[in-house]
Amino acid sequence: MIFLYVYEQGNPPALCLPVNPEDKWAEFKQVIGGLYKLNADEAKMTYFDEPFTPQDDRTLAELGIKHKGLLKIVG
Amino acid sequence: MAKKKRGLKEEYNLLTRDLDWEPSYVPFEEMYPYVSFEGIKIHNWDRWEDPFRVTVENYVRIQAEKERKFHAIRENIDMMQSQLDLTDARWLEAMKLFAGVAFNGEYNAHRLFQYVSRHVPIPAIRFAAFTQSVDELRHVQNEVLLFNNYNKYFQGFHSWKKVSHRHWLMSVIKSFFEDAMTAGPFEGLAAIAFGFEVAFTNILFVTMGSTAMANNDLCYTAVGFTNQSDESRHMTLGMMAIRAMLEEDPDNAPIVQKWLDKWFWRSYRAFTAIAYILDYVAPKKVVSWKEAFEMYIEDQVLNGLFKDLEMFGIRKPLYYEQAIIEKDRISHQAALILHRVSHVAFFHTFAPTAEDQVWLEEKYGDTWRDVWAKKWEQQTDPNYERNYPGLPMLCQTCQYPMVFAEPEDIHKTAYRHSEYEGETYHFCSDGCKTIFDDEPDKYKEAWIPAHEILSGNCGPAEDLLNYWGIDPEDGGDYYESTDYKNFEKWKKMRA
Repeated sequence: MIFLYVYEQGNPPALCLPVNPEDKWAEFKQVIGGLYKLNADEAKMTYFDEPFTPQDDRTLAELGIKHKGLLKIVG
Repeated sequence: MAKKKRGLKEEYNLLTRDLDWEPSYVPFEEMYPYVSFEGIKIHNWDRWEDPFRVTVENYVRIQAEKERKFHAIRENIDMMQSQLDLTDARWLEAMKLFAGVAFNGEYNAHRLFQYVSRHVPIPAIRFAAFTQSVDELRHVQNEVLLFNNYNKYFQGFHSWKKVSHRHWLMSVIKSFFEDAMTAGPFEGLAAIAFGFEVAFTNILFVTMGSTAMANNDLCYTAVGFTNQSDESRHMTLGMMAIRAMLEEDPDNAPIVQKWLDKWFWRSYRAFTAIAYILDYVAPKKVVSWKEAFEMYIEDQVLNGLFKDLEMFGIRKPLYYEQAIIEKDRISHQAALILHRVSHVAFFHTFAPTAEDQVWLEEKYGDTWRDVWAKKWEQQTDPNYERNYPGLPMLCQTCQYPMVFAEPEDIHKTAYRHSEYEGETYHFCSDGCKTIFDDEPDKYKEAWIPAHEILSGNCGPAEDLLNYWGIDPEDGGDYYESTDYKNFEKWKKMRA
């Protein structure tokens, strides 16, 4: 388990979520979709301040997400 | 022949100078093991004098008198059912927060000043620190006893020890004092005697005191009254300690400057809770955080105190400009998040009423209209999910939820981070990041509640309220609470 912080712009503070880095993005996007009531496929995101373009079949680790990383939903 | 009574000065000298001797069977460094590692150079330990020249005899006499008065007032408050004189029981939501913060804070200050008294070899400072240590213990004991009265009638006061040690939000103040207690003795002094007492306690006792009085809170007023005269001694110790360090050797200036930078920011961040109380919780408001900050921090501390220290090569504390920028922000940022976490709090929260909003607009003008009123509108929309859906991200240094905005952009949440030994650490501000970067080995060990809870170190999730020492009814919205309903009922019965 690692911690991932998820921040929705304009709605602080970020959530501290325990996640499995081996989970596929397809599963994880349901979680944030539910939490923030959004369609994760359409959301614009950054990892810290770098552009983040996830693919459903890749794991969080493969997408470069690390312990205490910060995922920002910016649009 | 009758002995001639000794004068105060002679008494004081006997107590301090003559009880301070050169060790003969252990080296000085062994007797004072922490005196050198911080790098502070003192050449003449003896020349410093406490302007109050407090001796055991007059300390005990004065304090005993204060205690007599205090307990007479306390018994009277109890007997007269003074809680029904409050403007509104909503004020007690501030006192619950105060109990969680101050009881533990004062007790830890007691421990800190024992440590300072033991390890700083300046006789005047040692005795002043010793009396302060006893004062702090007196404060916490009196506060606990006095607030016990509120505990008979209101929620959220029943488990202050558990709350102040374990509640996720109380880690802010716990970590603050533990940071000072685990520093060297000179930094401990600079931290609490100067950074906290000299710079910030006026807001705590004067501003909060007048707000408590305006809301007919005789308990807090009585506490403020009996504590305040001790505080003036504590402030004098803070000033003496800083002057001693700065005047003894010019090499001390950069070390002291770093501590002033750090403890100004740490104290300032800790006081966010007070900003919330002044601007939101108080039913009858006296002074806004912005006004209090301008009066006490900008005028008295930044433009007064720090000006006086310029001759020693001391400049204003790092990031003070950001604190100034934030003066019309932090109470609102705190209130917005506290409103969302009332289901896991030991106090009730609420959205500002129409009357509150008129006052907030008057005090905060454009920022209120353009930013905060809109946020409240959004947050009180019936479709908005009020309860925060998990654990908030916390700053590694101050441990507040990460709600503070970028200094240059009020709409953008500030994020700072550092990498240390392969791990990422997050901060709410430049001030908190700088503090971490200077001593990463200390702050990497911080006990961050969100992480500890998720790691299972606070027991099972379903038992968290019990772990924190709160009942489900302690939290929630004030205007739906039993406290509110009872208070309305009791007031009517009394009328």
